[in-house]
Amino acid sequence: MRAEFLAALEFAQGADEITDPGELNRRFGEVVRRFGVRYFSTIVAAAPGQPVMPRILSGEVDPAWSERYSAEGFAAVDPVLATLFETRKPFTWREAAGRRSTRAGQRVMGEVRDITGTDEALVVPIHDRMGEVAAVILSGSGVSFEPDVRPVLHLASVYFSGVARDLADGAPVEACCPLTARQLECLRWVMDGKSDWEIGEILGISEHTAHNHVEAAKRTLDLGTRVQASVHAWRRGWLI
Amino acid sequence: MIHLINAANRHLYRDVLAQMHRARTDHFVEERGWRNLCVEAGQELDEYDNDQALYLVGFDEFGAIAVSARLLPADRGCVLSDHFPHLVVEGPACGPGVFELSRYFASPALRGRKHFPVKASMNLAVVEAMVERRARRLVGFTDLHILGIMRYSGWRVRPIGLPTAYDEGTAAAFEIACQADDLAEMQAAVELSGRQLFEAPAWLPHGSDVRALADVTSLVINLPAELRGPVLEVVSRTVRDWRPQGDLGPLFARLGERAAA
Repeated sequence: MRAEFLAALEFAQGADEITDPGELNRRFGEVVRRFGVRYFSTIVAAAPGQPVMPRILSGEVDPAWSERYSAEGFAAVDPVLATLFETRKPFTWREAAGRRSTRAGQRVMGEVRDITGTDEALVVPIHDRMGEVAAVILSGSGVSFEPDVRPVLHLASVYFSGVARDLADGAPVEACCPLTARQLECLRWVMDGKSDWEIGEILGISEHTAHNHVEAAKRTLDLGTRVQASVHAWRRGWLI
Repeated sequence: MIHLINAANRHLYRDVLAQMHRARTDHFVEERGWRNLCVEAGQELDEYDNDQALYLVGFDEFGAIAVSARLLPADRGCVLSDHFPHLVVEGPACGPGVFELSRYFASPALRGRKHFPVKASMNLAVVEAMVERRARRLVGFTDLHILGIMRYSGWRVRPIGLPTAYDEGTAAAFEIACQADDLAEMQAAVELSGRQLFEAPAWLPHGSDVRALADVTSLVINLPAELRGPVLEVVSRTVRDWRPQGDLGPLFARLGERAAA
């Protein structure tokens, strides 16, 4: 049995004991690099009753690409994101581009190659029973994801995504983002012009709690208004 | 409550078991497309549906099966060890004290966030059954995408082998933590207290209303501590009058003690 396969299994077996996002990224990174992966991330693409607005929970990504992706609104035309909602099986960028060949989609795929220097990725859909759609994206250059490798990376990704989501609930989302997942959720709705009461209704929390999340985000970012806070988060790709 | 059906009380659940086997056909054969299963008269059955098998069944408010699973003592083998041994790197998948969880399904009507308590109750009942039988290990295998979902079910699920593609998907073997402290941890995690499992006494006659009995049991054992003693006394006396040869009092008392513990 290949040593990198066993390393992936060992990661999955021990992942639930990890309590620190940095440690999670370090250990998962060690595993996936053995398969030729350069960048990796886990995203939440959508939750029930919410618009499709992917956000990065954890991983090591190219910040220039994250910024570009959100600034250009690529989520609306990204063939990878569209494919994510259609399958539970891992798929590659090439397979996604082949399924949905639009000019806008080709532009997204071209730009990700140009900016990140990676030319292929394995995308592992993670659908949970609460209706949330998430994914793990493993990209690299000159890497191929053969059929025997996919189940192994799928297994490790299930645990990477699961633990990242556990840790994100109430913790800062990434090293570069000081806000919690809940605060980002609230800011996302602020961008849509929602009031605290409306955000509370959407997220199933009280108006008071929604207000507190937004106020905490403003304090953390040292900004005066809720709109400033949401724009600040959006510009940095935290709301992609 | 979740009903545990065993060889001794099976006569009370004939219709339920037939309904369960039909639901297994709907779920595993029709919905998930498992082509190699044996279906007879609309009922999915395999060689492990024998006297050793324990079935856990939960009902919806209309009396239909909402959730169901099979627990198999794997002393001499189970589906995983007999048919998919290549999925297991970290054994054993069979032997004394090892149980296998299989044929778990929830009704499509239960999908979604608001029905989580029903499934959490079922998953707690699985671990309760294992703790009571002093299980050493609870193993099983499932599709990889379901493994991710299982992580949010309240169970502590750990893979025990490398996943492998099969006809209908990619399967991975797992074990579920099933010791007494795991049960306590799980109760806290899913915010469900009290006993979930109901095991109907074997002496009840065919045709007994086991669902009503389970409801009464649930009421009695989940009473506040100060009321439990007097109520148990009244119930025990009533049951003795009703059926002197089969006293339910000790059953309630035993369940009540467990709930209190």
